[in-house]
Amino acid sequence: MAERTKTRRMTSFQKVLQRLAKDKMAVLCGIILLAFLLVAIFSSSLTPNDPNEVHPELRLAEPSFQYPLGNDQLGRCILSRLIAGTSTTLGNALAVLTGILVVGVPLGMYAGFKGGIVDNIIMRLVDVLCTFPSSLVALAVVGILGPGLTNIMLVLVTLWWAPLARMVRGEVLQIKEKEFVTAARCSGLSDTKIVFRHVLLNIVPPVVVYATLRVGAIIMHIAGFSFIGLGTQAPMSDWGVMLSDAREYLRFAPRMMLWPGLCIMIVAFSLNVFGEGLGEALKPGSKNLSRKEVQE
Amino acid sequence: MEKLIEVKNLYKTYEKAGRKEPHYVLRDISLDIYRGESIGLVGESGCGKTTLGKCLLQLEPISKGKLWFHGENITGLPYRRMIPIRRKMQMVFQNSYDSFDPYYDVRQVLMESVENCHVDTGGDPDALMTEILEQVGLGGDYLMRYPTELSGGQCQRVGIARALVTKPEFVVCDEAVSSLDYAIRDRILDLLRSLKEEYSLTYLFISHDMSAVRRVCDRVIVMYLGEIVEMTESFDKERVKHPYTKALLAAALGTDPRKRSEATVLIKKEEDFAAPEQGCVLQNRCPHATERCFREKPELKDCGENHLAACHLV
Repeated sequence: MAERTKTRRMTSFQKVLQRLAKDKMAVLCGIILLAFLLVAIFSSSLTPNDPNEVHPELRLAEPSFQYPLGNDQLGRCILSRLIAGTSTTLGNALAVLTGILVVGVPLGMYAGFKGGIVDNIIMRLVDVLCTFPSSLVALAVVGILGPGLTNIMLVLVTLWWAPLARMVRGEVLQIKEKEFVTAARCSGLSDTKIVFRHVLLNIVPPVVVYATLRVGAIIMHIAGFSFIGLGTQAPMSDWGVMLSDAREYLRFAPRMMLWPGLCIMIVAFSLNVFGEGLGEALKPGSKNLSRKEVQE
Repeated sequence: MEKLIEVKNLYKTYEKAGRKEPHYVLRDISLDIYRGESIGLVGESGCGKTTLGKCLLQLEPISKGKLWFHGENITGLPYRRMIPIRRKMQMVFQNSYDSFDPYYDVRQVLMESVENCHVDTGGDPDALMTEILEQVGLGGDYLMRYPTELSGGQCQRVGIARALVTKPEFVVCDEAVSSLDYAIRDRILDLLRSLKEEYSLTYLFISHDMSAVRRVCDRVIVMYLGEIVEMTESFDKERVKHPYTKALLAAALGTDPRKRSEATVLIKKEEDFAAPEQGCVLQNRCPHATERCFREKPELKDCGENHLAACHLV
């Protein structure tokens, strides 16, 4: 029996992959993301030079054989710093995202399913948090707790679980009224089981879409704070820090700004497209595939 | 005959935020359902048919009143104590497609009932599920299908299979055939009838399809605005007593076009569909309404031959 369940799980997973494969753009973006992820994981062994090694004689040097993308204002290898920055940038973004999901999804689900006074309290809190501009809060927090990456990440988690919770609550409210919830109750499921088996399953696609869209925004925000000197601190390498460093030398060495900017753009774009594709592929019977399968 | 379900003075209200008066969906429903009978429940949309069905199965909480199953008071029973009873009363849902989680295939849907109601499968749930699916005219290869991969009729059959897989005694069929074309409709009705014989089921057959009700049911209950207005074993135009039932039957098309009378208006077109504060529920739409109807609420009166009607004029 257990074996049978396993094979079936495999096939439904394969079906998702199959549907995802139809979306060529999403597949391409997925491959790009995978490549970035691999680079992030193996960044320490992939860097051609030490990303923190300073070469005063190579200040703002043109690309050369040893330094393929040139050197920055301290003569450090841009390519190496870019590669080293991949792990910090993506790592930080994923950490913030995890925080948002861990706080936002359960609170949103609880508010949506239970309703009543708890719902009211959570939602008013969400309303309040949604009105705060993140940059102002970040400045305030930095002013009180001092600059640092952790503080910025905390600010992003504290503010951004709110819109996610609101979205999740909306989805749950819709799903809760569906007949299959009553049907599940009729099949003898308790409310807890209904929430974990049916409601959670049905909010996965919108949450996946939301999360992937958010990663792009998180990277941009951390980069933005690093840019004004509040996020990642030197000498740690981060795409945002690199952008921020590059602005002073924009006129002499625009390529310094080009590479980190390009990386941020590609990752954000790929995440958006891949997220949309994945959300679509997770829905059974989407993209007319089901009909074809039936005919087969 | 043995009473399977007994309902006494059941009320169902929905509280609306910002409104003091609760909104009554069901008012003072008293009803006995005997083992082995098929009861039809008819009435216009929004009169509380589905809500009554769900209240009987404890899928909706009852606001007031009491409910017995096999002589045991099950009103507001907590979840755990309800499970063994849940197994014996099932429902075929109105919108069969919506009643399946789109992420569950047929096996998962059926397994959910089997597991949570602790159905004895004899160690092989797949064999049991295949058997049930074959009984409703589908095969074991449907176990792998998702709801999106099923047609309307197939969905309806899977819905019936889900209700039967727990080996219930009482099944509420909520508009089980209303969304289907006539060929499939006939097959599903025959299926329901044969399954009834085989498992000695008791049906509550909710429908607005008069001919389907007449085909399947031994007794018909007519509802209007959350109240039972008539209960009868002989559900045809000549023998029903209540003006609302007459109007309901007159509105249904007969099978023989030559016998169709001119459209007879037996009911007033009234904008106000809210239940009146006092008197008969039908007072605003009844062409025979007298001063007494506005003043006094008619009780369900025995008219002989197991026929009850709530009207002063009977």
